[in-house]
Amino acid sequence: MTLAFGKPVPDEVKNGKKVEGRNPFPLPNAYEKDALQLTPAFPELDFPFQVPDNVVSCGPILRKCPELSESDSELNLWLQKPTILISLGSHVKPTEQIAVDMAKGIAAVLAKQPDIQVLWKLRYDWESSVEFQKVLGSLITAGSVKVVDWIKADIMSVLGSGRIISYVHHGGANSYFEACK
Amino acid sequence: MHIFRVGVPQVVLPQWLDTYDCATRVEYLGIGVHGSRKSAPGIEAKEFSKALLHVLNDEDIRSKAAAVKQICDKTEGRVVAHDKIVEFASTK
Repeated sequence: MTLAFGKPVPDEVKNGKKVEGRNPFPLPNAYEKDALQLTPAFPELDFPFQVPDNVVSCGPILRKCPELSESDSELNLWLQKPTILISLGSHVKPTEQIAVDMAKGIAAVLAKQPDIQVLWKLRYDWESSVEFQKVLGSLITAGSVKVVDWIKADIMSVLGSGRIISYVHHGGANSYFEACK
Repeated sequence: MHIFRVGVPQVVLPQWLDTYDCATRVEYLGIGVHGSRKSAPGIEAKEFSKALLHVLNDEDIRSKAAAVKQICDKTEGRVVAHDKIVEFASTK
């Protein structure tokens, strides 16, 4: 048995050129028969399928992180009410239309449930958007929506505050396991 | 003050490849919803707000998310992974 780390499968090269269609899915090999495989998933956290014997379920593999009061005391102070956390991951940069649509969605939710608030990590220059300000400006000023381009604390510290009532994310594996844990 | 966490319902707004799998999985497990089924990888205001209101008010989703958290609380993944690697290395 060997220990296999997920690594990209290199494209096959022939006469110095990539062979078309050989490796359309540029992700690590998902499984190797003769290696110890460690996974953050449990069978209960996935679709039903048979798990081979050499796959070990570890549970979500996440960094140990401090309490939010230690890592970001300012955010901790703001985070006193039940809060929706929105963080689409660092690679997601919404267009104006998507940012405004999300803003409208948030405004509609807060109109129905004014007792909650929203923390939104948004990679978009919303301060320059008239339309965005029209939709969310007053809620941001009132403090019930906090839009930031970066959250200093580890997401697990934010979730660990116990005040996050829903986590909106883009479906990345890390986000999924953070939410499960 | 220690606050007890009970599992967080998810709204998934998928963007590429495997993230669609995640959106389908949270619905399959009943621990959240796909928030942009009609508009992904875009996001549409009404569909998004409907998804949020759904997860905020659905007791079944909340209890299933809590059950998933309980399963995850049985281990500390990074410790198990560490131990398995050490065990593996020491038998070679």
